[in-house]
Amino acid sequence: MSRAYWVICHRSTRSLDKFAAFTKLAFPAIQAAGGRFLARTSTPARVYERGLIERTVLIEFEGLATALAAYHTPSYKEALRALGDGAERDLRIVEGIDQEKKENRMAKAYWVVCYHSIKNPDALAAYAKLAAPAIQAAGGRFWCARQRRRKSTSAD
Amino acid sequence: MRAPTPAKVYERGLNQRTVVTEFESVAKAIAAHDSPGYQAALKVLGDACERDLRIVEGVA
Repeated sequence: MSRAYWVICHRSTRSLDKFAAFTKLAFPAIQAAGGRFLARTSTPARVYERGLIERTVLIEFEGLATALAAYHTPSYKEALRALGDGAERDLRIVEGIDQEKKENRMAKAYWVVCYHSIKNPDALAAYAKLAAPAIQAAGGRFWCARQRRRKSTSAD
Repeated sequence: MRAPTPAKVYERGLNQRTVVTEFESVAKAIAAHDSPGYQAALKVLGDACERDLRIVEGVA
């Protein structure tokens, strides 16, 4: 089973007080729901293109069902009530590309890339063909959202 | 090929391509962006997409 991730990119944080009240509730709620925080920062080391220097959070779950359920637990809902309109968040739940080998995780940094729009899919495809090997040669390991490959099964 | 879009989005989440890549260190993550190979890829991308790209440090 592929792991699943919450990818949260704040667009803005309007109220630090509301956000502080939220995190106090949300942190234990996420952990109780099986989430593991991989990155949690208000100051990305670097941003590019339309990247914002805003709160960025990555949370890992065992699988998609767990990741989806975590948003709807009573304790997380309570946290969301505390947040109210305190932040504008782009929250995406994505599946990992395949079973990951977590045993020797040594990752200390992540690229988080959230597309806002794609005007030219052909140029994106040409980019991806060059970018994937370049990133891998530079030591990067993809988890999410390369083209999903499905093993064919008799049920397909 | 299926579009690599999120399984689910909430709040202001956009149902758009999302990519997470891990690196051993922030320095390596930045160096990857600045590498000639990636810069060549970016030239091909041009203004084809609007993207929010952030490099963040992992939780120790």
